[in-house]
Amino acid sequence: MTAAIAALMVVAVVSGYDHRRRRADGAVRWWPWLIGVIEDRAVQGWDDLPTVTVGVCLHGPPRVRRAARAALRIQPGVDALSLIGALRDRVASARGDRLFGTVAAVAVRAASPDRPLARLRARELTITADERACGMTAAAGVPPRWLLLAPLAPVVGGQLSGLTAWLAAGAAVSSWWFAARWLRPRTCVRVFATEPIGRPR
Amino acid sequence: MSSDRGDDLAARLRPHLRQRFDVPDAVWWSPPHRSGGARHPIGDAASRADQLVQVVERLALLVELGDGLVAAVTEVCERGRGRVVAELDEVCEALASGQATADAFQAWARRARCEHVGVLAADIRLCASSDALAAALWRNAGVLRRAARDRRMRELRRRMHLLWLLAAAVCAGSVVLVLQ
Repeated sequence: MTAAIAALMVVAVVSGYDHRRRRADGAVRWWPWLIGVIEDRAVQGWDDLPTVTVGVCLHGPPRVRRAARAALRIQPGVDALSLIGALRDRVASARGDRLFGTVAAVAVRAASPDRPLARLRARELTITADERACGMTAAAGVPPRWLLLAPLAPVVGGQLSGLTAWLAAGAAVSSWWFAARWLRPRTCVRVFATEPIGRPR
Repeated sequence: MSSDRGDDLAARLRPHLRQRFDVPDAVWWSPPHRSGGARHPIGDAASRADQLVQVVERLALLVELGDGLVAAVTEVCERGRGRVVAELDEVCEALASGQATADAFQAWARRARCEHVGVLAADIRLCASSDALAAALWRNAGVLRRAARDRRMRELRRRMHLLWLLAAAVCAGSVVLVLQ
């Protein structure tokens, strides 16, 4: 009995550390870096902005790299602006909309990419910092979440039996599972589509 | 798209690559990501605040790139979805019927009962140039983003407190059961 409770406490502490580490090292932290590389190459005049973007994405972080390679594989003969649209559809996030939407808007209007990209990078840095702060706050809820499994201790120790034991175990595990969903930081939804949707919606 | 332009793009992208991307069986090929090609960008849980931030940022970007506010609103309405874009659609219709831009935004603020849109409408009324308008839109987008972040953090902290209370109650009950 004591061993069961002690084991639960150890699991709670260890899972708290693990969860905090995973949240803090989330996959979004490389996004400002990606925009910085695109900005750097565009300002240095490597190529036009859509081509530079596709080129950087081809060597970018895993999700964007997979999307860029798949877009090129499926549409090998299209121009870079169309590839940007395909990339935007494949990355399919508000973050992707911001980057690829900005690139497409700048390219279509033949505007200078300096200010929009610098502004976008600064904004992404802020958003990433905000998301990490939210992730850290949510990670602080992991120990109480694991403590919701405490009713398993009397079940394991034999204080509960039969239907009561099953009910207690089921309630503990389901509350543990729902608490994880409840604490998950809400992600920003996409508002914009690549192609005009037209009215009425 | 002609094959010449495709070849031209391939030639220009080649310095970016370690392998050839125009070979069908190239080793870097990977299947599309499972979230690719989402047909419904708006989920049910979308909050209006998050959508408003994205809409205002897009308006600011388009105005900064040289579009007029009316053209920017029209483009946002054509490409966007969701509650805020539906509200902006009414602004678009009001603009098409000849209403002044600031008045249309003010009417939107009244309909939506949103003080942020009211501030945005007041800023639009004060702006004399497109640069000033773009700056005002970016400033409003920043304020909206901070408000959305604060709201999200407040909600998370509230849930955290509730979870600690629940965990304490569950643990106390379990300990009582074990000690009996």
